[in-house]
Amino acid sequence: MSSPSTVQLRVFRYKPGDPAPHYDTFAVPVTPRTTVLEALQAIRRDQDPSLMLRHSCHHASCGTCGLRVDGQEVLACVTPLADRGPVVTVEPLQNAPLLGDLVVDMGPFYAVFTQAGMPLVRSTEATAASRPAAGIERLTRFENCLECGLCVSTCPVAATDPLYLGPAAMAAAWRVVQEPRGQNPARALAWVDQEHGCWRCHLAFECSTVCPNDVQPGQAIAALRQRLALGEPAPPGPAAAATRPALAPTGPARRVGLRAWLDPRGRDVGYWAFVLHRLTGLALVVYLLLHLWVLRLLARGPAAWDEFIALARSPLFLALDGLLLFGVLFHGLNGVRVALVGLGAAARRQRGLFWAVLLLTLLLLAAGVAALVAAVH
Amino acid sequence: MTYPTSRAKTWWLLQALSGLALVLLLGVHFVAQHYVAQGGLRTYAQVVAYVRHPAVAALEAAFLVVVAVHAALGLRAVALDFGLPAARQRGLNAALAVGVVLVVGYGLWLLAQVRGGAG
Amino acid sequence: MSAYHVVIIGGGATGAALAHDLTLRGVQVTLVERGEVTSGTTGRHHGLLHSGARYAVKDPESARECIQENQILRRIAPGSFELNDGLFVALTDEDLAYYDDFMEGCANTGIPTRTLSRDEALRLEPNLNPDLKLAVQVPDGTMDAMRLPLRFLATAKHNGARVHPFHQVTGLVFQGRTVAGVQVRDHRRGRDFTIAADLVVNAAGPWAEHVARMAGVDVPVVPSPGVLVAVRGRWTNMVINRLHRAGDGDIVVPQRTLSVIGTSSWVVDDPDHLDVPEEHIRLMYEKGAEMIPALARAPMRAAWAAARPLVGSRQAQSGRELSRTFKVFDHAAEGVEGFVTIVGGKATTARIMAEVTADLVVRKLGLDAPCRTREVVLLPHTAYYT
Ligand SMILES: Cc1cc2nc3c(=O)[nH]c(=O)nc-3n(C[C@H](O)[C@H](O)[C@H](O)COP(=O)(O)OP(=O)(O)OC[C@H]3O[C@@H](n4cnc5c(N)ncnc54)[C@H](O)[C@@H]3O)c2cc1C
Ligand code: SF4
Ligand code: FES
Repeated sequence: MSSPSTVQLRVFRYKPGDPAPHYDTFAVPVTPRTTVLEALQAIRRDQDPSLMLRHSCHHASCGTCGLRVDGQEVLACVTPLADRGPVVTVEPLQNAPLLGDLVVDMGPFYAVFTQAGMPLVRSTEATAASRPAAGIERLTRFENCLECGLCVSTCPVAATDPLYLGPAAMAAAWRVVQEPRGQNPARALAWVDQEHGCWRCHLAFECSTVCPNDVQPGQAIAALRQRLALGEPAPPGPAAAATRPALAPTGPARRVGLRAWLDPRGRDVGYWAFVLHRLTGLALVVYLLLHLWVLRLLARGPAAWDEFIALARSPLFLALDGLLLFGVLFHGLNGVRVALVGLGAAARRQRGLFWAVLLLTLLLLAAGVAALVAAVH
Repeated sequence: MTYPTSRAKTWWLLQALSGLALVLLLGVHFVAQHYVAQGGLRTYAQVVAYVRHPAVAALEAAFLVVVAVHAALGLRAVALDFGLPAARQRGLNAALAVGVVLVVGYGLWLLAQVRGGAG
Repeated sequence: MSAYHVVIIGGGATGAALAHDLTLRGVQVTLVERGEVTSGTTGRHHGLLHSGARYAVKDPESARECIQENQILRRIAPGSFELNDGLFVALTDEDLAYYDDFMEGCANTGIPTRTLSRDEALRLEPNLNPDLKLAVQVPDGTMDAMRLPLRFLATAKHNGARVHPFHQVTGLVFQGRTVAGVQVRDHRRGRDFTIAADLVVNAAGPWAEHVARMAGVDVPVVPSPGVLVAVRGRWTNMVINRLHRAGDGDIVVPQRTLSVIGTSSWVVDDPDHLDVPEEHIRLMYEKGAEMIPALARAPMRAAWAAARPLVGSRQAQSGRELSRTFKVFDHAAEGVEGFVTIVGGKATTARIMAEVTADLVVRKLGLDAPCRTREVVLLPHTAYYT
């Protein structure tokens, strides 16, 4: 083992009553094996006993040590500190009330999670007398979910929609559908079939990217939609409503809001697809209105129109045309990706599909721009 | 008793289907403008002649309707993403419906004007 | 609810079970924990619901406690365990020679067993070392180290107990020679205050000695760490033990998609300074692979250490010679009233530890309230948060 080097850990600090959070920097010795959790424990032990953090199992099993390290949701107990550069930033999870320092209140998470109706009593994975039911190992067993909340922290929809059921709870609902174990799948389906349920998901797949135990909540949501849209009509379940049990507020909510769209740290391609889709979509709505306004000139007769055409040949206008073409192409092609993936088709290939969409967009854009330039000259 | 189709699902499917329709219509639109209308649409006369073709007019009208619906559903999705409470959803739906009607109405009126314009 | 107020120091398995027990007996309970609950030894343990078979030969008292609690817990906390059972596998002739003692020990302590031939064992668990001689099936099981104590805490909370994580006890409040409360530092709000109590219970696990010193008394607890290694892959469904005298790296517990190999044993002074010696990690891989060869190539997910709160003499060398049973200290014996310490045991025996401690507590308070924790089914762990 090499001799320990030193890392500066920039730690998010907040206590109730503070006007705003701040960061404290601690120097910690690290070996190649030192985890973020061990470093934080050492800080609490040797430098600042008031540092609040959650931990329990130390081996990615309990799900309590979720944090954002350099903006990426991770389990601190299995995240090595070495090789991250001289300064590492540690922050609490987002989209959950902040109790203090690195500790969030999991109450709201569980308040929704338990509504999914996942059986808390599991009979067994396997008893010695009976091997698992045939084919069961094919299923990603829901018990794989550590209830860590990383997925909710990283989800761009959870960032803006306080009523959103969120990835973990919907993965639980999908578990009930796949493997009911005495629970009612129709109830689970009815529960996710609401505006703030599976139809709110925009398939950024950040949840699946950060999930430490391969639960693949994004794919679970897509599968739920597939079942709802194309599957056998489910028998009636109780009416579902986007409600949140009223919990007394415990701390600042820290719902990131729009900022989540613009924080690139630690994000994967599905997230970029989502943000680009949104921005191009909004831009195209503006364009639609502008376009109608311009076409009004056509109704005014040839003179007004020719004036416009002259303007339309200016380089600035052509550049805008190129931008428009990019927006149309990306929004359209990614829309196809979203429709396919969102209905459960090729949900596991969403990353590859994103690159295909981008490549096709750029190729068509090049062709389009070439045609534009040729048309002008 | 059948399982009631949820509105949420209907909206999402409509969004997806209108999106797919747009991709097709846009494709046709591009092809039509670049290959059918030789040299592209430049002059006023060319444009008018082009939209006078009944198939073209129908295409443009369909395009307009689908675009308006898709845009409205998109705006609705953004509003819900920002946690629009259930109580306000009705108001939003109504406002968007009015918007769609206005845009489509205005667009169709324009189309009619141009088609009837000096050629 | 009685007028009596008891403060419990420590939010591990022991403190959690005690909070539940005393609350059911009508005592007002406040539990204070310096960090998050189950952040001490409890959350980090091996995740084995002991059948007791491991201790059947050398430590029959522990073994008996384990099998009884094993049966009670399955009843009061359904869903917190996998009903996967365990196998003790004999790999060598030396292991085979231990078989008779083992079976006798299990019979004497009431642990049900079933002897499996090599082929039967391999049919159940194809990844076992094919050279195994025989295996004995016992009612071990995988438990959720954090969620079981959370269920005790959830039930206690819903019955009126107060649970305060991030509250560290910094001293005790005395009235003469009687402990009348605790001084705490609330790390969340950064304030110090005192909580008055009719009685204080020290359930601080390996830190129990440190807390006892605040009362000027001594408890002979030896923090004895062990290293555990989690590897990726669920190589067996059952808990696998080596059929021999308890030693290093001789248990593999499947947990979700991981397999956890453990453990080693040594002794330290300060349970806050636990390192994970590289050679212990290698030893776990080596020993684990003797039973399940595929473990040798399984990628590591985590390696960590936890400190057993063993009761014994400071002269202990490795900790293995100390009993796994528990001990309750009424410090009135040393002239300090109102202060009780509970240490030792296992997570598996937390309920009976709580029962014995609570019996003493209510006796000292002059209450007549029987234990009810054998029957009351616990709330789900999610109820702790909501
Ligand atoms: C390596 C290893 C493997 C094990 N495997 C198993 C197993 O498979 N099955 C099993 O049944 N048992 C197992 N055990 C035993 C079991 O883990 C312990 O017996 C049990 O967890 C002890 O619980 P506790 O509540 O007494 O102690 P702890 O869980 O340590 O709780 C004490 C608590 O007190 C808190 N505290 C300390 N000082 C203060 C203070 N001043 N103020 C406030 N709070 C304070 C600490 O933070 C801590 O949370 C294992 C132990 C080890 C070490
Ligand atoms: S789905 Fe994955 S990320 Fe989300 S809570 Fe479960 S384990 Fe954590
Ligand atoms: S401490 Fe349990 S998951 Fe990290």
